[in-house]
Amino acid sequence: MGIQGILAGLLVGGPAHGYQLKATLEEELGPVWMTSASQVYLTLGRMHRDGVVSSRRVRQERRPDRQLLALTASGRALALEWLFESDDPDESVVRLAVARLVVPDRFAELTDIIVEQRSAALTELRSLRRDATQGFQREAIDAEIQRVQADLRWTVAVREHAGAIVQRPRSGSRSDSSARYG
Amino acid sequence: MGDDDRLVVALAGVTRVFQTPGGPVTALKPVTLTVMRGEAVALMGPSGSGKTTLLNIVAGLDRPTAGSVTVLGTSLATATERQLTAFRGLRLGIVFQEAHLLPGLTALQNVVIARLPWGDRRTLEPRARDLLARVGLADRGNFLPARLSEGERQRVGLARALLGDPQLLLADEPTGNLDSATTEDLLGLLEELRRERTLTMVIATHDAAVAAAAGRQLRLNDGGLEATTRRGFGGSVRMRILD
Ligand SMILES: Nc1ncnc2c1ncn2[C@@H]1O[C@H](COP(=O)(O)OP(=O)(O)OP(=O)(O)O)[C@@H](O)[C@H]1O
Ligand SMILES: [Mg+2]
Repeated sequence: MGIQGILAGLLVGGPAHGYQLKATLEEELGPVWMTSASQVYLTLGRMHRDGVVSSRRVRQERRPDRQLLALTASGRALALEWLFESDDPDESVVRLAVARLVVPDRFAELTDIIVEQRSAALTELRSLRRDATQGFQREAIDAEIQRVQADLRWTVAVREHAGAIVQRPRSGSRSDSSARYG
Repeated sequence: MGDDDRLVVALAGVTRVFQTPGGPVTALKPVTLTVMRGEAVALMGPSGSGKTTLLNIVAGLDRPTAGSVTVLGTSLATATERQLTAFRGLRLGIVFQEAHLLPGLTALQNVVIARLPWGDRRTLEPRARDLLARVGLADRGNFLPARLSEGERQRVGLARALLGDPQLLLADEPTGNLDSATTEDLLGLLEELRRERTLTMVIATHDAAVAAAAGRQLRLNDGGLEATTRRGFGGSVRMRILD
């Protein structure tokens, strides 16, 4: 689901402007996670077209109007589905980052879900490994197993510190409406 | 018997308090637990949470301060030491956190020796060789423990535990010193044994990746068993598409 799930997820925390969503992602996830502004706006436009978000025009002095975006009922369902039921290993980090902000009371539950998902994937890979005897098959599966193990161990470590992670204040600028980010 | 046949481990209200010079240490709060035949259960929890204490009690190596322990239909609380020794020798396989090999005996002899009271060397040795091969030590049979790595000694300990064809395998961090591929090989072997012989196992580990190999995960925290809920979330494997 990618960027759409992430944006919808952030909006579970309340209506926001596009630039705020982008700033939140940058500030929360830091330098190894990159989002392009054009990608964010393009996706928000598509979400609006699809009825996932509604928008309200906000007047600004001496500046163009801004769109304040809010989730529709179906958008909210989509966001919660992305958070709690999707299963793309590459998105665990962002799902948890978003959950920390918008549903902190369910953060630990989400770590449990991801642990369970990665454990199930590991079980699946191990059963594939049993029959993989030819050529380079076993090594190829071992490579996947090690990736899943790393994901799993990381998630367990996060779960162990879930309480402190949720307490940590959110970074900067959600309420900062100065117009530095266009 | 009947249904009880399927019940391999039944703990009810088991506690263990150690008396120490500094006062009593509660290693296990009341623990209630059942394990069915053919089940693989992972016992997780941080260091000091009581995993080894619990395994020792199930193995009849230690007695609970209170509560009842029934393993393979035998009530361990009322058994004599002699009965416990025979029980362990004939029906359990135990893999300790440290292998405890006899330093003067070769790997092969170490695998065989614990079974000698109940079997003869000529039939035990070929099976021991086979098990050493299955744990990846085919060419280490004649090595003395001092010449084996820690992970190799641990695997000798596993072969020793499996030699008597136990009904219940209790393993304490059996993959603690193994590299990743060897760990996978061992977990694969255990899964094979579970299927072939309906072997029941309880494996203590603090590694979630090892615990994932078990059908059920239990978590100890400060001597208390936490309920784990499995909600049946699937987990997709990343398929690599060549295009
Ligand atoms: N013989 C003993 N005398 C006193 N205290 C003990 C004894 N054995 C264990 N304990 C205490 O009981 C608690 C549980 O120990 P246990 O060895 O069962 O933990 P564990 O979960 O196996 O830890 P690890 O992961 O480090 O192996 C610890 O606080 C330990 O200090
Ligand atoms: Mg221990």
